[in-house]
Amino acid sequence: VSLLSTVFDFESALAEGVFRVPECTVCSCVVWPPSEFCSRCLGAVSLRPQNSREDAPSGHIVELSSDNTGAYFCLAELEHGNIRLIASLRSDHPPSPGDGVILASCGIDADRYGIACYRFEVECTTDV
Amino acid sequence: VAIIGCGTTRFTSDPGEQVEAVLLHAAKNLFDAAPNVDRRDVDAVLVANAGSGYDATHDKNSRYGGGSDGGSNSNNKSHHPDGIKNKRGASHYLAPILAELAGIRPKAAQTIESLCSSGTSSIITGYAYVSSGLADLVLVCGAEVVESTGRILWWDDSRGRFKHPVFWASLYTSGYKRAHGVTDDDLATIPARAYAHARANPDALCHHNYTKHDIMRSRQLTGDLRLLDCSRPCTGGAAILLASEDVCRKYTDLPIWITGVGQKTTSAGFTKIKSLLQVESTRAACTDALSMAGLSAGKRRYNNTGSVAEGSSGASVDGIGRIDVAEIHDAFSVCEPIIFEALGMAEPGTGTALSKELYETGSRRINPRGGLIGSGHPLGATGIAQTAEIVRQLQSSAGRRQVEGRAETGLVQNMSAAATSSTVLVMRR
Repeated sequence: VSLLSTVFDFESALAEGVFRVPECTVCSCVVWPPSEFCSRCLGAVSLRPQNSREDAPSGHIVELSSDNTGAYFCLAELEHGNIRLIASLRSDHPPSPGDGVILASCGIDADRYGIACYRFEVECTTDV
Repeated sequence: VAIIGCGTTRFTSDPGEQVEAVLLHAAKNLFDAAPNVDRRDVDAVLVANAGSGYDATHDKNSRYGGGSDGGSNSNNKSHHPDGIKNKRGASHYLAPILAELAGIRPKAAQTIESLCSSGTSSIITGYAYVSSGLADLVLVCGAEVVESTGRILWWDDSRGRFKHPVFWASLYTSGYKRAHGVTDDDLATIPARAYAHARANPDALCHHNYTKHDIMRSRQLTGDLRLLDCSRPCTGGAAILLASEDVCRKYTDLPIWITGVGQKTTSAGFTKIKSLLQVESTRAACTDALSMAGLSAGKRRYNNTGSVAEGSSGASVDGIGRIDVAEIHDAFSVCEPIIFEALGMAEPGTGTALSKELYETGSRRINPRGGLIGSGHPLGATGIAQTAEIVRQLQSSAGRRQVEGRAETGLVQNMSAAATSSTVLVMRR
């Protein structure tokens, strides 16, 4: 049995474009970053299935900036603040802290040493 | 615990140096300046290094069976993030190597790594050796080479592809500017002062007289950071010699005493930091260090000229206001004001006002050697070089960099990995 099975499974899913939220099987808290054991109770960690885009984590922007091409990146909180990620950000309007985002895509970038990569989209708001 | 000697090397951007040679160079400079010290008396050799010659891509791959042979790079030679051709592999066993090269046969020799605060982490380890009675004389030596990969924490996948420090610094900068109405022009006073101070530091990486105008016009790295807002990786070394109270007078008439130490780690990953407007690790480490030094958190603050002003109560003469000279970890421009605020030198949101006044008055009380921005940032050496500078300031031997007035008490603040860990030292003559 691999000692890194949860992290391996998380990254394997990520490579398929699926973000599976790590959760403690004992205390049910979200464990971030993914790990074999819960940092709160040291219980075993399992990965929540993500069956559709509707299951993709969502949250809001904490802070943002832009890279040297002008493309936005941001720190966002997902899962009620239990997961924080830095990711590229696509938005149809100038985004601001507090804007809602959804994790639109994720993966493993084989051209960049196998690092995880994430992309948020600002959630659409409907004018009433 | 006393500091009885120090030595530093030039900080350069020259590639191809071996970290072992840089360590030896720093140690030699120390012993040359401390001829009374018999190297046979050194009980422990501690080396600070954050990753020289270490190839993170290899480690990343090894998670799934890539092996752990210490960096022989048979399967990654063209993939290094910094383009390093790491023919020698990783540098290991650095403390015993330094001991052998310097002709020391210590009881203990070990290497300490804590990214950018490896240097002060090593000093606190040496402090523990001496104060526990395990050693009377400890050589603490740090070095890094410009090719080091220690600046990137590969473990932190929550940063996605934004792993380089400029990205966390951009987020800090963006947040600080928005929250406190600070402009890029305000922040530009920080590197302008750093570069000006570095011109009086012969060891500094940069001796160019960059003005605010130059800084504002320098290459935009991100929407919130310019090139000249950033400290730069470089090759460099620094060493200090710690001694017990029992033996220090054998070697020097002017020991500098470490009177307070504090450390705090809040997390490893940047995304676990709760607020981008404050440095919790520095605040906690400073509180402990001041308390240990008998300088309990007080009511005095630096005023805008960098000297001590009475606080609201006007009663206390304790606390951070007793610090005459300080070295703080200005890895990026925005670090300075948020560190001022974490140390209690400025109220929340007023750190840039203090920076601006220090710039306008030309005061050297903060970062007299040019800070990380002006001096360069050889990770393992940085905290030790900061400490060596405070030693020289308190001994009144800093030459053209000497702070105004007689410095009695000094402070070092060193941090790592986007301020997830901090160390604070308080020293007095």
